[in-house]
Amino acid sequence: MNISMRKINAIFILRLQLILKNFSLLMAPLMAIGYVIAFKNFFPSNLPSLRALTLNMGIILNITMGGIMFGSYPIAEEKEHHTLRVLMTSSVNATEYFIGSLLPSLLILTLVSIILVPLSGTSWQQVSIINYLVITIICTIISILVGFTVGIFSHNQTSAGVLSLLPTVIFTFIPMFKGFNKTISTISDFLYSGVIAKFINQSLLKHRFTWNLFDVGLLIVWLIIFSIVLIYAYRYKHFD
Amino acid sequence: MVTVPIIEVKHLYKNFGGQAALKNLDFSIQNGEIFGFLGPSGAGKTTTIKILTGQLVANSGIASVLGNNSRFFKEDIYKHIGVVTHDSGLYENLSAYDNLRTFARIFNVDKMSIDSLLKRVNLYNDRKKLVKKFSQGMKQRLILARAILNRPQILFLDEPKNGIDPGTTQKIHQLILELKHFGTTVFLTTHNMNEAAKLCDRVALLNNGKIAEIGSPQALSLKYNKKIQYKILLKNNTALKLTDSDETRQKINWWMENGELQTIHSCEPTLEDVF
Repeated sequence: MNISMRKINAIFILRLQLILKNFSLLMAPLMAIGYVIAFKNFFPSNLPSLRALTLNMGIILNITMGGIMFGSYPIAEEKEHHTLRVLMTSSVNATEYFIGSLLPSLLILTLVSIILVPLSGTSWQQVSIINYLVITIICTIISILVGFTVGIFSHNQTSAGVLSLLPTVIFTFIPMFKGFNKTISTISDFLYSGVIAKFINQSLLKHRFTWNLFDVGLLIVWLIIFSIVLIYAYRYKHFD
Repeated sequence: MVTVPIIEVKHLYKNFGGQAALKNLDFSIQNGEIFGFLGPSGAGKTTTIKILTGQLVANSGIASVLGNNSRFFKEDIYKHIGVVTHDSGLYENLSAYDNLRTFARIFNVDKMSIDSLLKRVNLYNDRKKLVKKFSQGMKQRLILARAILNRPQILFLDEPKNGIDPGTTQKIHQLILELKHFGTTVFLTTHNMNEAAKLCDRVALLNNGKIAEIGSPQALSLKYNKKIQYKILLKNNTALKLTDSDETRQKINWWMENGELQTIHSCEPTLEDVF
């Protein structure tokens, strides 16, 4: 299969234009920003645990809910308005479509993840920017892959909303509430979004985060799992 | 010299569940032809177009386009074909210009040609308007403009004038004839026999998944013109329908010599009658 940079660029620009005009799609990153600003203003305390909670919730909302929405809704919308078939009969192949669709979503969600740090009142000295970018980018990609898979099985935006619900609840809320229950905390440790929570907690509460084999392996395994799931979903359903 | 058909269909069968949609379809289309595929709803027209454009796989038989079996199309084939189906979509939140610009990027077409294309389909003044504010006719013209943006060798048009006004229909017909003039082969499905008779070099009449007749509209009309008749209107407003005979010809001559004949038309069957 040939991959054309020109076609990826065309899809990238198209997708960027459509995302920026779609307010309901922008709700997840805007909610994350709004939540962090509101939380910081309502609880102006400088307690590290409070700041960790604020940042955790903002980032996880942005990356998991945002990533799944950014992946699933555009595919469902294209199916609903019969534009996906037009692209496929215009010499764009599935790989070009997925890469071109992934990049603008990744760009927007990563920018939001970056601005959430100062908005939460956290200094970049407390959080290693390289580790932060590596973890947030990998987790955002995984969420978008989950979203793509949901989009493949959705007929329209309503069904995308319904099908997104379960992965959103699992990957967003379990790491968010890991502090409330030991079982939830254990489950969270095995989720890709749990690595974000662990990274933020260790950086802000223990003042250092060190990579371990388990976390690296966990991110790689989730990335591989959802890449394979997406490939199989596409082979099974195509864009029908 | 033997010319290679640009589209060739051999023994094509397609079933949906237990229902046969296409039964042993056989036809070929030469370069530069406007080929009409006619039939009532459910006859198998859209199924044929979907198989020819690689969107559907036949149960058996071969559908080849530009020498490529449509079952194994690679995406590069779509650089040479344009497809307009009745459910072709547009990006409603983008302007007409941005819709075409996206596909110009995909096909590597110079953006200068977007404006000239928008002028050709009378949408230049509305180029900055969001497509969601367009009428059905304007959308149809934009879809057609998008399909010919890459100057395709073959244009597939599936019921291109469904739900649009006569003025837009006229413009679409003009554009189709212009494309033929520049060497594009057009595969047109329609249930409108008059449209087919006006535009097509050859037509295939499809019924229940089978081709009932194939040929030029004129040849088909003449083939079924068993009873030659004339419709006559005299200057005194008398309307007559006369069957061809020595007596009728003598009468017509007499009316012509005496200046009494106002109009005269032959009554060969239309494609609709043939169908």
